[in-house]
Amino acid sequence: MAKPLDHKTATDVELVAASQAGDMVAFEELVARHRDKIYARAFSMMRNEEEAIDLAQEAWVKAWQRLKQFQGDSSFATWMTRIVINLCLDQLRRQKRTRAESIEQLDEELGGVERQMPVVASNPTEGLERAELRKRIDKAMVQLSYEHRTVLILHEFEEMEYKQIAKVMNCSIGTVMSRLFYARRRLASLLQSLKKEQQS
Amino acid sequence: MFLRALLILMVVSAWGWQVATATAAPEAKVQAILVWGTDEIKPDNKSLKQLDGKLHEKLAKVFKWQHYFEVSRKSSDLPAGKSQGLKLSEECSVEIKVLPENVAEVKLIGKGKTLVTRRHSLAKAEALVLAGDDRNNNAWFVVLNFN
Amino acid sequence: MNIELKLQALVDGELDAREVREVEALLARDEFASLLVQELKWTKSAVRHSEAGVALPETREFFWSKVERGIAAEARNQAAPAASVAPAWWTKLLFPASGLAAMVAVLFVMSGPRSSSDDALNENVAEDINAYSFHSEAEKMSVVYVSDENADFSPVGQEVKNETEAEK
Repeated sequence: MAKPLDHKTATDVELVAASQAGDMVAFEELVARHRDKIYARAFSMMRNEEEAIDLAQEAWVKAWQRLKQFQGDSSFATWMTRIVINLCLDQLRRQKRTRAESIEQLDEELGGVERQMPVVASNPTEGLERAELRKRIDKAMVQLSYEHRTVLILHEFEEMEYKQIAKVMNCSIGTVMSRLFYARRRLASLLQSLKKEQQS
Repeated sequence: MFLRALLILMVVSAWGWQVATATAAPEAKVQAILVWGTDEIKPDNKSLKQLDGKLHEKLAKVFKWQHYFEVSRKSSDLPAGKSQGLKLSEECSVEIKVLPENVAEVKLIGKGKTLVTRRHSLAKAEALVLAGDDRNNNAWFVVLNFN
Repeated sequence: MNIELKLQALVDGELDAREVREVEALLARDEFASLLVQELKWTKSAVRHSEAGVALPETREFFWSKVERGIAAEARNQAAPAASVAPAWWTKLLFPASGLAAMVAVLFVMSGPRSSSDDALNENVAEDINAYSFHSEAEKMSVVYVSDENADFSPVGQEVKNETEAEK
């Protein structure tokens, strides 16, 4: 007879297999293990606590429904993160439609302004403690548009390549590159300003 | 004649049993506490007091708010089969009725309208908490303890 | 691809060997390009290691109850079309507000093992109310939570909140 699964000590792979067989307790354990990471990703993208909670919840519901499609090509955490990212992007697109903006318009308005920004010659984050660095990056990220913030999140936090980001964001690789370039240059400039503020 | 006497006897017995059960000792007691949950610092309001440590701890383990204040508290006996109303604030009251099989039926009434009806087993010493969103990301709780 | 984006692609390791050689040759002779690459590297490194470590501001039980409710609701939604094709005649005899009856079914959610005595439990909510319930075995409490974005029902008196706002 098969040994009963000890949910607390089981690996993610074992819990996923049990969940795929309909074990809700195993799935609850997976939720408990990864819920903070999934919420953190949603929060990074949405910058709104309530929306992030709702989207994280929706992601877990979707995950349960699609669990049979999970083949283990990536880790469960990565698979889950992709689900929540897609939900956030859908939500952001819906919000964008209601604001009657378009990505193209935004890009045109910026009109290559990132190229005119002066280069930041000294590292604006040098010597900062981790907590302070996080705080400043967070503060600066809030000031980016969602397209620029998302491309940074996907590239730096999710470590996706340009073509993967293009696929997820449904745009060209060229657009990904220019958004990433703008986002980084703007971020460098914001971090420089924060450093100056701190010094003065 | 005999049948008529038997019928009268049955009616009288049924009435007597009803009276006896209606006036029987209370089936249960209830304590209802209206609580306000908030992340704000303690308001300067004398009618509010910090929730007692044990209940505060219980709520804080389940809910996200940092501070819990007692707004009002009411206790009552619950005679079997009879509905008992407890007014906790201007707009909020609960009606509780002990049903057979040791179950309490609890109605949460807001602005005169029944919002939630919940049946709660009295077999285990468990609290029933009716709660909800309040303005400005705060929350309200009606904590019912039975014994 | 313009030169700035090529510099960035170099930083991100997205260039092939030939392009890497070309861009490195440029960097050797163009000071602005070198400075720009330096800035891009700083920013990349700073962001990569700085994701804010935010935690979900809800307890395990509370959050799970919502997930469980969502799963149950989705399962019912998927099952609903088949059921609605041929409703049994006796369903007409049930509670006339079928929406409310459905809500009763949707809203009763249990999170964790329940004893048979709990079978007696059930709940009923007003039609315009969105509520869900869960059970905390650890804290020995059953909760019915009314989710109300507009907070139309506020049992805590306004005077309590006014005091708070005044304090602020």
